[in-house]
Formats: sequence, structure tokens, C-alpha cells
Amino acid sequence: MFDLLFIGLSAAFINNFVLTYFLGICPFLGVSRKIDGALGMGAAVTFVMTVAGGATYLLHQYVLIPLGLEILQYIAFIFVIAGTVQFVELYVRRFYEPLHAAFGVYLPMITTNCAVLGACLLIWSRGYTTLAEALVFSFCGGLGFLTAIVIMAGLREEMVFADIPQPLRGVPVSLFIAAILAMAFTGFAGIGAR
Amino acid sequence: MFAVLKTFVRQTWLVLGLACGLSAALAAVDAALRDRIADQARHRLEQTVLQVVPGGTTALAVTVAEQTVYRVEDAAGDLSGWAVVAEGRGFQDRIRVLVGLSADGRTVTGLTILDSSETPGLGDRIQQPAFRDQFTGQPSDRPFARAGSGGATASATHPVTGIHAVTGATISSLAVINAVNEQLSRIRDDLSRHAISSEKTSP
Amino acid sequence: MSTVPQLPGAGERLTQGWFAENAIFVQLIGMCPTLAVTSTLPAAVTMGLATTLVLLASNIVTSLLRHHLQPHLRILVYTLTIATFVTIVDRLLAAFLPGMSRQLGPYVPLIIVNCLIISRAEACASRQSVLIAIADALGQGGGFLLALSSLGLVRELLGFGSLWGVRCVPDEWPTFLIFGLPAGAFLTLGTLVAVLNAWKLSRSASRGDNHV
Repeated sequence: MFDLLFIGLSAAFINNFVLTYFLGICPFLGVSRKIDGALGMGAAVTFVMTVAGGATYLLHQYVLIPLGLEILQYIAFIFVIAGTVQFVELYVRRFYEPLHAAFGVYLPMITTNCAVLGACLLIWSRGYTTLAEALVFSFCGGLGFLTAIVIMAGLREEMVFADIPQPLRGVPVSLFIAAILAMAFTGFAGIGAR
Repeated sequence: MFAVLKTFVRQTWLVLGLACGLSAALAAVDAALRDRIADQARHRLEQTVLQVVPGGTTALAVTVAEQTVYRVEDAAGDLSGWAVVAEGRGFQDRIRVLVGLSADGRTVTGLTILDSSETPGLGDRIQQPAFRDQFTGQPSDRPFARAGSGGATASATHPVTGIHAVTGATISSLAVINAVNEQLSRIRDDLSRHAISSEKTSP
Repeated sequence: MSTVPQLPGAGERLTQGWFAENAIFVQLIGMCPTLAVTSTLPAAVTMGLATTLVLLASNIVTSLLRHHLQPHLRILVYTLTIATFVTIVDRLLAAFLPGMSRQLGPYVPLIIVNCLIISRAEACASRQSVLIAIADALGQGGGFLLALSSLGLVRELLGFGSLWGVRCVPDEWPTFLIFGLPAGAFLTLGTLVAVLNAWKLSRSASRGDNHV
């Protein structure tokens, strides 16, 4: 139980997907201008990541490995992710119209989001062996992404009123903020160590 | 029915054909490289295991007490020692270490760090011999503890082996110490039994 | 008579990717591996070469199939092609450069979702001949390699005081550990993009443009 808790904490904060693993940088810099948009993107990514993480885990564990088809891992994973995104979009559009209005526009972009494929692959390279671990890792990784992107959006909303030198406007100053965020997040290191 | 099939094929022939062609390419690459990659992984593991159990030449993975341990044999086929994996939570992430034990499981013969994501220059100094060599030659039935102020003090009833932590990397050092303690207490007796029983069976 | 916009030819494709349309510094795509693997120069160069290889293979295949691509299935075709070549490159790395493969870790398979490759397939390879597609791959891939290498160079030199593993600063000089850590990656990339922006601005100012 505490192991699962630690896996979740580690994925969300200690080894944050954006600030430690550098996954999901493109939406992190691109979609983080307003908090609403950031929340929507973060929620969509978390949902897709959790579903895809579980689905790819089951696929790899019960289909690819027993049949000796590990060479197809990357292809299978990216297609499961693309399929998940399509499926989620259809489902949300059909049954949860308000939700779709809120964050449906971000869904197609998630297929090429490094964070989702990265989460699915990290489950295996970190040696998580149960579905529970895979799901907790994916879900909390998504929450970590959400946290980082919302913080960034909040800061950028404030920066609209700042007088930023011309060369730094846009991406450079966002990257500097990300650097400071990354330093701040290293403060989480050491949690759970005995 | 035939019309549906015709439409289907007209739409997807490229994707299906491409999938077949690419699968064939992948199968070829897999067939060509799979053994090489597996050999390299095995070789690397063996090299690491032989680092912590001096005098051995081959390493075999065996299951003892539901865990994978490595049985090291020398050129003559006699048991020269064991290597077990210990894992603990370090400062940044998990730390995995490989502990070498003597044939009877009573003495630590070496320690090496398998996986760690500790801070470069600080926490990852646990990888240096100055820290790791402190474990070599120590008895495996006495718990290790951090030596120095704040560490456990030895007493007659509870003897401990003192290990100096790396300066500025207390948590990483403690993680290694705790991981080693836990794994040794769990597996040491089973290894001794295994060693004795295999001595009995060999001529 | 309507004018069809001319697509760039081979020569232009080859040269544009290095500076004017550099994937990372100008187009600002494909940044995940840029930040992740550039803490040392060898890793940065290997990733750049691997990406260029995949881009080349993907562009060639896409260009050969360009007349048969269905509009609604083309992303599928691109993804399938790219994923296959990334798997092949990953296996080759694991077989022949195992240490580097371990160091690069999960970032080699993440080439699949590197926006650069899909965007080149869409923008160039699906519309132009194989020769131009090759030129485009070499141009964009070269620019990507250049960007990664410059980042790797700065980070390794400042962070570890070495180049390609060989220590090359005097012992008394300090090493700034932060450049080996994630924060330093963001700092370095931000600084380089800012410097490039400043240079572009000063160039357009000296040309007399008043659009800033």
C-alpha cells in the first residue's frame, strides 16, 4: 500500500514528468497561456494517460510477451494510444457534451504528446510488475503534468503585465520559468526515503 | 458483400501492404539482433556479478526463497559465492545495489550500485569505492548502521557494523545501508542452507 | 491564370533546415529529447544522428508512396512507418552501442512522437519527389543535430568541465552542476533561443525594418 503511495508521489512530484523526465514539453510551453486551457489540457492528458497506461500494460504483459512479440512494442503502444484518444474523443463527445466543450479540442493533440507514450514505456523500464502499479504511475504522472502546466499557466498570466525584453518574449522566458520550477521541485526529493 | 469488400480493399490496400512489408522488415531485424542483444545483457550482468564475488568465473541465476539470486562458480565448478540484489528508496529515486556474499553467506565480499538516479556529484558518490568498500569483508549477520554522530551506537547486546556515510549524501548512503540490511536478513539463512545442501550433493 | 505556390527545391530544402528553419530554435518542435539527452555531448550527438536516420528513412518511404496516400489514412501510414524505423534504430543501438542505448533509455522510442518527423512527412515528403525528400531530411535532421550538439556542448562543458568525456578545463575552474540537471537544460535552451531571437531582431533592425 505504501509502495503504491510512494510510486504515486514519485511520479507526481519527486520525478515530475515535465520537470524531471522532460515529457510533454510542447504542450507545457504551448498550451499554458491561460489557466482554463491548462486545466483542460492537463485533465485530458491525465485521463488518456491512465487509460493508455493500463491498456498498454495489459497488452504487453498478456499478449506481446507471451507471444514473443516484444519487437512490436513501440508500434503496438502508439496505436493503442492513438486508438484510446479516438475512443475517448468519441465517447466524450457522445455522452459528456459539456466536458467535450471544455477540453475536447485538446484531445487530438495528445497522440503526439511525449508524456503519454513516455508513461507507457516508463512503466516497463522502471520495472513495475502489476496493473495497480502501472495505473497509479500513469494517473499520478498525469496529475504531476497537470500541476506543472497549471502553475506555468498561472505564472504566464501574471507575466502579461511584465515588461519583458523583446528577445525573451514567448518561449525563452517560459523556459527560464520552467528552470526555476524544476529547481523548486527538487525540493520534493527525499520524501519517502528512509 | 463483395462490393463492401472491394471498397474496403480499395481504401486500405496501402496500409495493409505497408503493414506486411514493415512487419517483415521488423521480423528480419529481430531475428538478426535478438540473440546479440540478449548475450550482451547477460554478459553485462555476469561482469557486474563477478565484480562483487572475486574468484568466480561464471554466474547463474537461481531462485532461492522466491527471489532471483546469482550463484557464482569458479573455473572448477565449485561454489565461490552469491550475489543478491537489494533495493531501497534513495533521495531522488530507487537505488538498486548488488551485494556479493561468500559461499557460506556469512561474509560480504563486495557491493556495487546497479541503478541510481541520485544527484550527480553529491548522492551519486555512493558509487565510489571509498563508500562501497566499507562493506567488503564485513560479517553478514550483523546489521550495518551509519557510523558517527546520530548513527546507531554499538552495544554488547546489539553489535553493528559502522559505515561512514558520504558527506552531503546522508540519505543516499542510508538508503544503501537499509537496503543491504533488509535483503541480507531476508536471504542470508536460506543461502547458507543452499550452500550446505549443494556441498552435500556434490562429490 | 492562378499561381500555384512553388514548393522549395532540393537545394533549398537542404539548407533551410540548418538555420533558417531550424527545428528547435526556430520551429520550436521536438523539444522533449532536446532537453532530456543533452547533458553530455556523446548522448546528444547519438540522439541527433538517430533522429536524422529515422527522418531519412521515413521521408524516403513516404515520398515513394506519396501518390497513393489516402487523405484520411495518411497519419496512420506516417505513424506506422515512423514507429517501424524507430524500432529498427532502437534495436541497432541496443545491439551495437549498448552503453549509449542504456543512457538514452526511453528517449529513443520517443522519437516516434517527435513532431519534427511527422511534420516533415506532411509538409515535404508527401508532396515532393524522393530526392527532395532526402534533401529535406538531411537539412532538417542536420539542423536538429546541430541544435542538440550545441546544447550538449554547453551543458557538458559547463556542467562537468569535459568534452566527450575528456576533461578539458583546468582543475581550478568550477563546474556548474546545475547544467547537468533538468533546470540547467531549461536554462541553456532558453538562453540559446533568446540569443537567436536577439540576433534576428538586430539583423532586421539593421536592415531598416520597422516591424518590431
